[in-house]
Amino acid sequence: MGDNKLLGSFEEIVLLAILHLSNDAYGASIRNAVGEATGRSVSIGAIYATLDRLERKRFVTSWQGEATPERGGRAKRYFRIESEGRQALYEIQEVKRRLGHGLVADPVGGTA
Amino acid sequence: MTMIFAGRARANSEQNGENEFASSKAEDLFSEVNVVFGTAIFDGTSVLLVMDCAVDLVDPSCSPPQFAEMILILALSPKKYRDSQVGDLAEDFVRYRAKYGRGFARLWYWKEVLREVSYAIPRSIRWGLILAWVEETIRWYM
Repeated sequence: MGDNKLLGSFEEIVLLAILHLSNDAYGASIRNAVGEATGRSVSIGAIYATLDRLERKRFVTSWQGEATPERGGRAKRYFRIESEGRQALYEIQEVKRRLGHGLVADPVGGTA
Repeated sequence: MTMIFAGRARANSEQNGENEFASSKAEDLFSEVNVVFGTAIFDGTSVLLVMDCAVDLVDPSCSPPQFAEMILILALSPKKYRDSQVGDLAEDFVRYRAKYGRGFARLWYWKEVLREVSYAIPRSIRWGLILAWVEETIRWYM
């Protein structure tokens, strides 16, 4: 396992959002997907800072999309998950599965 | 010219098909503009379109507040994504404007800008301190 490439929890959420959105993964849609899934408002800066980190780790690639009038003529930047990103997602899920045996359904501290 | 109607389609019937009909009728009515945000009211025989915002027309109220956008451009990082980030927020601004009105959209936009600025300030202070330390060190040796 490439331990220097282990995902952070927010990185994992953003990667999962890109996977979920498939061909429509760009800043605003990723932000909305993360917001809906977590129930929290996320800043666009936090999303792009994470996307930048993921791109430097080669987990995602990005390309310039179309510019639309409602965006003030500014182009979208689409993101796609790469095989290394999928592998990193798989590894973090494995780590959680191995270490999560003691976790019970009640997060308050009840015992099973 | 292709037009997308995005907004609130209201019909006298609860059926979804009626709403779709209202939207398509709105497309026929306004064929001169690309994107229209508004309310289409279908009473069974005709469609009344209340237009909120036609983005491709020169209407400053359809764009985010310019001063806020300037501040945002200064605050955002990383630089290579800056244009896309500003575009993403502009897209959400138009969406909120169509859904909740201009006042709400402007408030929301300013909140987003202040949020980004609050993230940027600690970074600036850090760099300020580093530069001040370098300057002091150089002065010490000169």
